[in-house]
Amino acid sequence: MTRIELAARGRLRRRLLLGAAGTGALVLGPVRLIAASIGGTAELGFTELPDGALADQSLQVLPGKVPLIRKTARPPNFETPIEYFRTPITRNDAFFVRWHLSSIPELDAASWVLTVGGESVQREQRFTLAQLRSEFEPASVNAVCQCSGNRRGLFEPHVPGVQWGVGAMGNAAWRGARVKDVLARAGLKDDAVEVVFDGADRGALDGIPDFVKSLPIETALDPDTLIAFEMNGEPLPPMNGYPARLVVPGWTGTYWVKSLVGIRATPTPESNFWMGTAYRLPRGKFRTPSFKSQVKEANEPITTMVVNSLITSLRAGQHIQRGRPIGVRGLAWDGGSGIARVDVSIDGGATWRPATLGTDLGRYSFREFELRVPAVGKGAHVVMARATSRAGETQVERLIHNPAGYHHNVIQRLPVEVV
Amino acid sequence: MSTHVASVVACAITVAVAAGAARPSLAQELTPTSAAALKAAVQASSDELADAPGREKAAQCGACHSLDYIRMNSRFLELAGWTTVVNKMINAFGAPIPKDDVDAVARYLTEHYGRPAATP
Repeated sequence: MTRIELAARGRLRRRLLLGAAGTGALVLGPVRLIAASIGGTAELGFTELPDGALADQSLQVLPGKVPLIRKTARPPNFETPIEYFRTPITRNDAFFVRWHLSSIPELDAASWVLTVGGESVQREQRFTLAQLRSEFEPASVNAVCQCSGNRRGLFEPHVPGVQWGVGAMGNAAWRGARVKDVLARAGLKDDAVEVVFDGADRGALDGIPDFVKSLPIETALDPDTLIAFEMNGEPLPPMNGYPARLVVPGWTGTYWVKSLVGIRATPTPESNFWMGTAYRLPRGKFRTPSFKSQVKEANEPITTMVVNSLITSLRAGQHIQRGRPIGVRGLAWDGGSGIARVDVSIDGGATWRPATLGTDLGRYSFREFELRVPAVGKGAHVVMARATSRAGETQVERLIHNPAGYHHNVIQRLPVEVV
Repeated sequence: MSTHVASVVACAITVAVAAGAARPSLAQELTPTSAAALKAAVQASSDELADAPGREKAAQCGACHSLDYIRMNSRFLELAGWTTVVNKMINAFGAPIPKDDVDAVARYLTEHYGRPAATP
């Protein structure tokens, strides 16, 4: 745990306890941990995963990791179980794993070199990890990394692809060198339109397109866009991109290239498969910003995350004693404006009350929320949480279906039973 | 500067598996990129797939990825959906599957990992 995380946790807990005591409400201990499941989503009040995904996934251990939900083995795609989302910062050893290609190199920090070049720089540069650490002003940011397809398995009708539940995401304190500073050392030219990032992973066969992503020049030059060599105060786990990965706060995980080995500034749009064909949305369906140099007639690349939340303190069908509060607690996040509010309903959306937000760890971070609502009447209650961003975006009631299964931010409907 | 090894995941162990048949370990399912290893992966994939006509052709998928990719996407794709997926693997990802095999692979996947046909 980082110092900032510990401090934040302490502050939030104190504030919530004081708040509850001040209103005369019953002060309970920490929210009871629910045993690890194998990642079914019906128990969270969502559509269930496809039969095949549910039957096939299991908890398995990767090097340096706690048991995670294995979606696929080769290339490895592993999801974080829900119990690790009960803190605003996600542990490194529980952070989800997502690789596109099956040949994943084991990089050695001592010999690792990052090449910075391309048509739009004056002089190609090569940096060792030691140089990256010592020759640039270090920068830090708390930021959510969420796979574009997180919750794809909840799409109805189902769409092909990795059938993620809710755990293809995590929030960490990232530390590294700014991309803008590294590009400046190479002498960035005015004609740069995009910056292209290459990871060390490869396909099993020569014909498989290498995983290469690009960013608009203005996003690459954002002071929060980092080449991160630390995650929560530790080196990155190999499965999360050791020794250094790209961190693009607010943008979906596809741009966060792991095990970064090359950076290239270019005056022309990158057209490889991963930019030109994959990770695209139909135009006009979402209000996220456009990646202008990559827009095509029918579609455009996914960019920033949509506002979302996850209730982590309850499971569907849970019994709650009448007279005791229903403890609704969880996390909210968006694409970088920050969370303005989270509203909670225990009557299926008929009435809403504002939840208490946890400490603000930055506009790119998970934000905790909590509300204890007295359970007065017996019977079924549908618990919901609805996050609203500072940009005024809010979660949707009905899924905005799209062919690749991105941006699922449908409001959770979690049924509990007051007995 | 780098070694491409399956040892990255060699210490992976199964903690919990769904009730039923044992599954190959993660280390077994991960392959290095040599031709021999790819051939072995295809053979192992064949053993894992439902024993029916078309299995050998479908096992070609295992050269590049584990077969949980197939099981995970079941049972909701019909023939058109599986055909699209197989074509995408060939056209976008360079899967070494002859065009002539597309129909047989898609039909096999539909029958064994696809959406159950509506009963009349």
